[in-house]
Amino acid sequence: MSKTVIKFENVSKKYNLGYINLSVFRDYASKIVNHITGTPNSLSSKSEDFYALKNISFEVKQGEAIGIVGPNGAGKSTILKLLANTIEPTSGKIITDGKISALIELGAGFHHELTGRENIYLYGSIMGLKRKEIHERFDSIVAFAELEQFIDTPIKHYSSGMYARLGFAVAIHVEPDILLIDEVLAVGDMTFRKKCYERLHEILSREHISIIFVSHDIYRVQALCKKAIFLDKGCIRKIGYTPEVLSSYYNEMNKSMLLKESKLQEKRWGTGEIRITNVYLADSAGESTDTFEVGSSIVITTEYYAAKKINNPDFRFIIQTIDGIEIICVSSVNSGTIIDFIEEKGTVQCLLESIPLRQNAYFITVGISSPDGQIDYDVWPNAARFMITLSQDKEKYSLPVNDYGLIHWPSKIHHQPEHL
Amino acid sequence: MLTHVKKIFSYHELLINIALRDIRARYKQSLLGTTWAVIQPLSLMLVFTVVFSKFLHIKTDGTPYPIFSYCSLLPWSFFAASLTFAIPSLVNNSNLITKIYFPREIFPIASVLSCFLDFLVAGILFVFMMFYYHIQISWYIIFVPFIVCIQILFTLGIAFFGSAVIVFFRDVRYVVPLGLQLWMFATPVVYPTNIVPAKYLSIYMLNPMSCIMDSYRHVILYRNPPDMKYLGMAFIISLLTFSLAYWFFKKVEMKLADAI
Repeated sequence: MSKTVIKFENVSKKYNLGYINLSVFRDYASKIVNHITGTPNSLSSKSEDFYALKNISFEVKQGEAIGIVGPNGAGKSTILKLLANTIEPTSGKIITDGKISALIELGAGFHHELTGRENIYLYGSIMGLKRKEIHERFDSIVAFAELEQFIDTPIKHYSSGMYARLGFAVAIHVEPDILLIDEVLAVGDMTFRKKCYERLHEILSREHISIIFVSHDIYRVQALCKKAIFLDKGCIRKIGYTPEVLSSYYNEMNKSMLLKESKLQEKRWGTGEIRITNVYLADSAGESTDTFEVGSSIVITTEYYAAKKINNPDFRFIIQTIDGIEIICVSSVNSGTIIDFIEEKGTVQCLLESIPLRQNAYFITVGISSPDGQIDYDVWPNAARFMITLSQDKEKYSLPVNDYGLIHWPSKIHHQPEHL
Repeated sequence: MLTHVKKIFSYHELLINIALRDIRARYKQSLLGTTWAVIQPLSLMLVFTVVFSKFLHIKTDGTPYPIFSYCSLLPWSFFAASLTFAIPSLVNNSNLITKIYFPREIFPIASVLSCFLDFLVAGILFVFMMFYYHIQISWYIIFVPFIVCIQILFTLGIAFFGSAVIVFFRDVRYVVPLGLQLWMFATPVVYPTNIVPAKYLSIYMLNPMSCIMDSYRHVILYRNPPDMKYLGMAFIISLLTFSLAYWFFKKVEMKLADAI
């Protein structure tokens, strides 16, 4: 049994909203004046309490990576600040064991006028490294940041990518017991980002470093963390194995998306020569539904109205995740269906066979364009939405903890031992 | 208190790095670089020499006015620059304060430290001036390090207090330059102490900077021992200021990240 390195016990963090206004002496003065003259205090209405965190309890064991997800303002950063010991909880207890290093806001300690070399020493010491330790790791840091050529250039001449690379390279070389990561890896080009994640995986594989990973990139959370916390309005909504936590996070986001859906409809664009009048979904049996099992088929039916005759329209169906990643794009032209012309009313059906998506919620964007893609007649983002649920037949499509990624690819693995 | 000192010592590398950052950043991409550390007190000395010595014919007990004023403008510039940099130091580093923990007093201390290095550089010119004006050196000069220590103690006290208060009340930003200007004329920097009427002297000397400036002149220019009564008083007031300010600083330290 590995030891507990982080322990939150009923931690709350309260902010007084009016407190912010007190930073200017004038507000005090106006309070006093109001008090004397008997005018009702305009500030008192604002000075209500706001809980950034409410009774949070959780534990992190040594070598564990735990992801924190949740909408903006859920209190994710507050947890990191409490862990980094920059603020104190209003009530409750936080116990940490080991050296904590925060990979927050890359390059927060950099100075523009100083060279890369000077900044490595400065930032390293801010992150808690001794001069000797920085000296030992210097070459490795520079190599990781790929900045050998520019190391004696003042960093104000750096590109934002170089800047971020240098920051990450130093932070990743601190080698703490607990590493706090907050939304910082969305920097640099793709190859560098990949390198950063590989390095994080390598750190985790050493088994004694714990990671707290705050991100909106849920695929990264899935890939990096076995455990996750879903935080909402300062409360833990769900804590446990990542796939379960993420699916409840998805469901929750879905609900809030649904509330906004009426607004989304207005965001259509196109010339209007053809209008999509209705989009609805059905299962392979023709039964109208918006919930499907993993691996089942979906029929998308689109009703249109063309004000005049249009030749060779191309119907497109795009399946997107909640966070806007386009997974599948089906086009009538590319699938070999030539629609000679359309006039007035009609329907176009798209059959998506044994759809390999994971348990989640998805949106469908439907568009009608000219075959060369130059003219959009009508594009309707998020025209329909559907849910993929686990199969009733659990044996066929179970969801083990180590299973993640965008799609569910039916596959077989064969094992053949060579001994005997 | 002792544990705090130990803790700061364990962060001494960070302290030095931040002080170095401040110095390097101050003089990078400037043509004259560290010469500015000399130019500032020097130009003040020239202006005051013209006004006080040539126009007003102020009496300076036989000491040439340029060295008389530079002897106090030098430590005064150190004091003023320290506060100018140290008081906004926490606010200016808010991105670090909210993200990473280390003892917050590192920032004001580093500001004072970086100004101390400027003070040493500007001191070189003073040594040349001593030769130029044939100022004899007496044994009393060994008091100088002690007086400097009292001055640093007092400076740190004001810096701790000011840097913490400015986080809650940004008004301090406007108070600092005004306050320093008034304070300079309430202190014997550009005029001798003996022009102060005797009946006000006891109040006048409650200002530790007055005693400190007066002591510098005694031990360096007049080849006298410092007035131990006043210097002792300055030490006690400085120590009290420092202790109270540090206690206050530590008390609000964990509230800084929320208020900044």
